[in-house]
Amino acid sequence: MTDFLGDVLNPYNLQVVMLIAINCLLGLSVWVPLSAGQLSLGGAGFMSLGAYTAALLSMQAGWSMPLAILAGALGAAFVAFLLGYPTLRLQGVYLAIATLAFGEMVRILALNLRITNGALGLAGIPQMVDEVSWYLWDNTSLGSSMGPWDPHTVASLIMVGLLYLILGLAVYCLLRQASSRVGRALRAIQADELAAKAMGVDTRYYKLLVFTQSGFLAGLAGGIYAHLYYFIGPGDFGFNRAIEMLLYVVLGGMQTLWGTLVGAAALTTLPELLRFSASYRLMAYGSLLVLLMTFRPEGLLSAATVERLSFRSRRRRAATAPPREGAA
Amino acid sequence: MLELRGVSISFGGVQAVDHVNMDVADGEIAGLIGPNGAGKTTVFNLITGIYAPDSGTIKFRGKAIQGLPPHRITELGVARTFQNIRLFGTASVLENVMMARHCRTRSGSLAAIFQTPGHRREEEETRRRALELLEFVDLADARDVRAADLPYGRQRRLEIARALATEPQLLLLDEPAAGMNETESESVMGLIRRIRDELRKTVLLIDHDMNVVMGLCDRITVLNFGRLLAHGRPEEVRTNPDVIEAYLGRE
Repeated sequence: MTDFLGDVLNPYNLQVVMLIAINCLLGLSVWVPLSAGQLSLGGAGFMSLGAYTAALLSMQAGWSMPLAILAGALGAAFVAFLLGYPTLRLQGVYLAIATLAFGEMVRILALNLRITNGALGLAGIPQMVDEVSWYLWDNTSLGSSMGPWDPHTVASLIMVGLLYLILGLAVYCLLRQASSRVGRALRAIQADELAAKAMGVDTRYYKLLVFTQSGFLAGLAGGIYAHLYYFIGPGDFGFNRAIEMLLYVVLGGMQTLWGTLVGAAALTTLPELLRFSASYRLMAYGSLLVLLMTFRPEGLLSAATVERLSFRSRRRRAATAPPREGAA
Repeated sequence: MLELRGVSISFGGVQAVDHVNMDVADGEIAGLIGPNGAGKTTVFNLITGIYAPDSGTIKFRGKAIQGLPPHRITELGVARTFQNIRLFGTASVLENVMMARHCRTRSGSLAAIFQTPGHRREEEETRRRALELLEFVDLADARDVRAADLPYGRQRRLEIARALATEPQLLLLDEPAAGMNETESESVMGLIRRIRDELRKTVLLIDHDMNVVMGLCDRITVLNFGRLLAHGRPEEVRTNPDVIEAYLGRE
């Protein structure tokens, strides 16, 4: 039993589990504006802002990690708000391109600024897991325990719990928002922006709102990412990252928030599961994505599936029903 | 109630609306007619803030509203339907109406996250009012149906219910009976009368169906090529030689 636990709880597995939570947050940061019909590809840029801000605050200003991460998220949200203003008039692919360009700007800035240490990136970022495990080492008897329960594993498990608590909180807030007056306004904008305006929805306000929320989520994920990995560099937040984030939403199913979570989990795990195919790994990954889009264009988890799985009473569901499958 | 003075707008050389004056009095059903391309829908778009006029003033209950953003004008009490139905297709019938309660409700994301008593009360009230309006337009049985799945005639009714959910004083209906057979348009006419008589709304409508327009409207404004052609009671307009010429051509 202890051997089995030791196998399951190895640092590599725990790392993947934590990465899933981070990627879920990133997926949500794309899903939120998309739920109001806004396709933003600036996520990697906001993640980068959050990561660098948090890392620099904890490394150089000596802030405590949770505070630094929160500051990174708020900073990214603020920049998202500022970026939202001039891009409000853009729609569809134009918005996508403008936000993508923003992401590239952030990357190039990180590549050239002294404070971000250019292409070398920031190394030696304080690690949350290390901190917790030192604390456990000093203050509990775990340090002398045998088997799987060494301080580092326990600290990792605590971090896993904490990350999923944060993710759960984000999901809870977004679900509450979706089934409220605000969520209805967002769906109205997504369905028909002109009609939404005519029905009294201040579309500018809500676009800024989803943009800011998106920046916050991506910045939060970035800050956490920086404090789970020893190192961040400009290359971590490039074009690939932006596309990956979009893939979580599209492949997972963008009709509901749950699809994004499934997509992020699946696309984070998949490359790891494909490691056996060695040098064919990325080819296999790509082929699977193509097959998925061919045979399940609505994504892994469609709204219809969610409805079938949902146990809420019909009447209640009708009041707040998300858009259903096969939408015209 | 509504007063247009010298309202003009042009699109790249086309004078779509040219110095139009128009009045809609409190409590009446007013009609706006004219041949295709006369600028009727453009006038609606000007009143509801989708376009800002190049010149002229639009006053709603004495307040100048030209150039205000659409959602502000809706808030002030002007609501509309669209010629080519623009429902929130993927949402349910009930949700469509609830969506339009937006400007008459307040609670934001934080209230929703913490489920404050005020938020709960407001949600309850939003739902109640939406159901009431669905009852009024005779759609209560279809409340869980996806709006896009409704038959055409009922979609038009839903659009009216949705517009009413914004609690307007002035309701603009863009071809409410378009594409309907006689029975259907009779029932829409009945509904529009009830909107005035029971809900005490003022109505301004565009329609091509002369039975609808002549049968419903207290006063009619006729546009042709963006200009005001005639204005008056239905029988006056019907016999106006300019109007006959615009519609039928000269002998």
